[in-house]
Amino acid sequence: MTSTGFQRDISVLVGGAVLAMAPLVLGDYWIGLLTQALIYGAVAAGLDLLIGFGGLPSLGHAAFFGMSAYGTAMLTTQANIDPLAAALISVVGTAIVAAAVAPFFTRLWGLGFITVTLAFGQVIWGLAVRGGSRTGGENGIVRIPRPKLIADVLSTETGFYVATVVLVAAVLFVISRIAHSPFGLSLLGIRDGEQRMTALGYRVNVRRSVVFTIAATSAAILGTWFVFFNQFIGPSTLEWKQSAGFLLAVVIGGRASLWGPFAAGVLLTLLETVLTGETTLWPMVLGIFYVIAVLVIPDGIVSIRSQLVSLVSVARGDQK
Amino acid sequence: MRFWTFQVLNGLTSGAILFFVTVGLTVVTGLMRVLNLAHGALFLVGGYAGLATIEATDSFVAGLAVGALVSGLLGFAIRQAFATALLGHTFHQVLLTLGISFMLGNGILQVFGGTPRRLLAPSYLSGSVDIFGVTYPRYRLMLVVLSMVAGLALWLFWERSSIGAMVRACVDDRPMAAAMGIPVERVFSVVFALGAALAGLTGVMAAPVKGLHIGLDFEVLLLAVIVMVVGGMGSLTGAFIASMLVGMIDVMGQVKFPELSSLTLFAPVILILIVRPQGLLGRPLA
Amino acid sequence: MRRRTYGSTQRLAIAVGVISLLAAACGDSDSDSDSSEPDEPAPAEPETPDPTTPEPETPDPTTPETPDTVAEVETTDAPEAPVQEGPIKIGVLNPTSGNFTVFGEQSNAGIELYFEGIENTVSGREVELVFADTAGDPQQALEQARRLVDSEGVDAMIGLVNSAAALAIADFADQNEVPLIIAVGSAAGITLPENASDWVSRVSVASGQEEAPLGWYASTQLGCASAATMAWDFVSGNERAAAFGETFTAAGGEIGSEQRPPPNATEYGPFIAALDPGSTDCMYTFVVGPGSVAFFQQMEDFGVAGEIVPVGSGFVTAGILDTLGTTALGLVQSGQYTPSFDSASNAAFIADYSAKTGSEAGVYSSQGFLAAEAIALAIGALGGDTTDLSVVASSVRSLSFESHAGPIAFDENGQAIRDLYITRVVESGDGVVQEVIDTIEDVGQTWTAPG
Repeated sequence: MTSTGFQRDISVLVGGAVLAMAPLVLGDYWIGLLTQALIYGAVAAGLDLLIGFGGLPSLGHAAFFGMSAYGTAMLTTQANIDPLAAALISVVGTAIVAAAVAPFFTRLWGLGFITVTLAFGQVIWGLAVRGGSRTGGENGIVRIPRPKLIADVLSTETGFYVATVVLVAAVLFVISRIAHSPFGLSLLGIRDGEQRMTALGYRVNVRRSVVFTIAATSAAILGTWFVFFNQFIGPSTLEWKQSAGFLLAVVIGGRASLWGPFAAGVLLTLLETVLTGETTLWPMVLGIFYVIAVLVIPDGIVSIRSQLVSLVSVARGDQK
Repeated sequence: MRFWTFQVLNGLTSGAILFFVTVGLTVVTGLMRVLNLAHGALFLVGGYAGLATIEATDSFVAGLAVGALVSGLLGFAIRQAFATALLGHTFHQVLLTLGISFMLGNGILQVFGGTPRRLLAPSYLSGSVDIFGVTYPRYRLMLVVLSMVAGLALWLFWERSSIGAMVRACVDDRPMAAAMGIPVERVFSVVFALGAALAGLTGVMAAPVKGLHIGLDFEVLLLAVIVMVVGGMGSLTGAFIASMLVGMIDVMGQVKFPELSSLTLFAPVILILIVRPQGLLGRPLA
Repeated sequence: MRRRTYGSTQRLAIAVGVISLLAAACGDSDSDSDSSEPDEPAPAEPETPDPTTPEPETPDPTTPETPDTVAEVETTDAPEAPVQEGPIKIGVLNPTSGNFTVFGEQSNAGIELYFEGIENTVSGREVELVFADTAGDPQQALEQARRLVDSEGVDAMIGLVNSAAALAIADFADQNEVPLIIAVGSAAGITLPENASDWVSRVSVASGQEEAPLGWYASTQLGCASAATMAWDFVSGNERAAAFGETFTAAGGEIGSEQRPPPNATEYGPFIAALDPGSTDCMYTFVVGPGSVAFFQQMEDFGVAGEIVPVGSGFVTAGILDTLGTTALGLVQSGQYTPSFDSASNAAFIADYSAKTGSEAGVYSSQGFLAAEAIALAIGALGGDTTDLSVVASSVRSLSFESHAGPIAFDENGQAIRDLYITRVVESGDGVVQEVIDTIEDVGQTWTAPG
């Protein structure tokens, strides 16, 4: 266990360092794309806490991502509040909302949970779209300012990108600690055997509500960061298709593996943006990709390694 | 008074369409625990197939038949091709059926183009009648009446027929049903295909009211899932009641509180689910 | 044991992070930029975009006389700089997926038609069109715009079919200093003095530009004493309905029921049922795309169609009008373009468009064509020189020419001033057409009623 933990932490660091050097070889456009992809990947990892560890399939995760984003946008552009302060307020506000609804939502399970989170997401989306001049409605909010950090590092694409790498690494660290803590293990237990855990005295719904709030908060932090990157927020970032995208990243990545959903989130974001620029057939291509993913790697990207290993040993076995 | 009569009729029409769309989804989901997110796409494919047929043959009935057939065959093909994956984890179902839905939806765009299409009601059902003091389109009234008739017929079939009993047995206790000699796999395939066919049929039936356009598949899917869960998965009566309820709430909410339109629809849904997680008439999920 | 190892790796992480941050802060991030940045000092850009900062002045260009013939790009007394190497890259932002696909397709066809007509050449340089799909969504439009500017290095952007995307892209164009010509996207704010950007021009209407004259017209010329409004409940819809109401009441009319269906709705039953045909003469409608098909059908279904005269902004032309068929009979529109506008160049435009696409030209095709024409003429007036994009942007502003849709010029905020055609949908053969019943000349963003 110790060595796996160490290996894991080192690989995150190495990965982070490699990523941070990307601006040396990539132009502004790709750096911008990568920034967005990293953010979305981290959201997927946070969602994995909820789905993979908590066993709660949410189709409303984009609501928390977007809620915090909109909060930051409105506070900075309309109330002229400093970006970092606005970020703090929005994240805390979103966390409070999540904590408020969590006890009710987590009483449901399976399809019921999917539907209630879906409905919740639509309510938030509806508020954004019909929010008139406060939320910009369909038009969204433009000219969102970035925070001024040391050396004004966030004003360049590269600077923002490196800051993103640091932030994402930090978020992943925290999520990973939580997942491998006793709390995280108890979640796995609840996911696989709820009745047993209840019998053992665990307060199942409390734990579920906690992981729900944690996941929502991580999405809120990333949502705020996203809006600083994008400097624009529109209602499409909140709609259920966005939530479905996050869910899919978790499934394709491999539930409860954290880095699988992260990688999947990054790759899928890049894939979708590149495809959109290439062809009007991109939904078709994406659809085919999903279907193939289910058939070939049902347990997600993380399982590719073990599948390859077993393939190799089968081949070797035949040769003997 | 006139205003309210109008709105009630509108709500019933909306409910009727929702019922037809949802009934296939709820039976399949309750029966097989398969969440078929391609249901909306099957609806739209059937609708467009019917449109093409009607434009070629001028026969509404032919359009209905082709719509149902095309979607039914697609449904059957999906079930056969992905049988194992479909019965796997919920997540795999979501991924798979969503992927199929993207493929079908984009396929429609490539074949039929982006212009929204209008389908006229057949001449023998067009025009309006004076009813309860308002002028209301005949076709919409027909849909309302049909939903009641179909609802009743389906219920009778479900509760009173031997085939219905067979299907219900598969829902309640699959191993036992198999042990009793019921061909469970075949039942599932047939039910899946029929559910798809019904979706396609509804695509054509609803077209004179809703039209056909890209993106309609997901609009319909969203509503169908909501209705299904509120009514309770696998429950026909639940689907009927929930359809009418959601239809009414949607219509009334839009007119009385247009600024809050999605709130008026989804907030009650959230409340219902919290208070009664299995839906109005569903059985508690295992 | 684990804790100790973890501590050291934590420190390592912080070290790596800090080093990277410092490297980035000191490094030069613009070395890879490949958009044609001007060498002369660009207008001073504030570091954090602040909505209250006034727009910086652009350097005065030495623009020669702009040509006033349509579709011919003449190099008049161009500046001393030689013609550049390489193609002129124009980014085209339009939806080719999603709810507004049909409009994006029409606009793209119009754009392509124009450039084909000038053999893809402006001032001896080849024109390369780079298409991008916005799906009508401002977020996606933004992502595509970044690709166009940062990766493709376009010299200008044209296109758009809706307000939401237009607003986001107008802001982007201003921030990234790339000329933008909006084909369709009526958010009024884009060309209001406090918000206008020197980089952005619009060939089509601002919200209210069609509606103000229409309100006056409905009251004084159509004889409507009372009117209802049925507009989608979003910024554009509300702006337009308000503009109509203002001039309508100023001319003596009375506004009755105001319905606001949700945007993109396909179910209008509840809203139509709330109307009172007995006491309503006209109804201003702003329902676009798939919604309009459902709306007019349902007006007929509910027996209201014959009772109230629908009036609207000129978006119902060509493809959509064919689909609507007889359900749109009697619709009076005020628009910048109608296929029924009688001129030789319009006839040629319609014929060429039909030959190219097999369908009839409508408003979106026309606006796309115009946006293409404007950028081509603007660049042509500079002899094809796109080294200073701010000069290109102001070249657009100084254009004034006779197009297939009538005369066009731009005001000091980039908004086009054009003639408005009042049309009515009438039967023709086995279908319907728009019939021009009046023309209101030189309509800009602000308009005062005659007399």
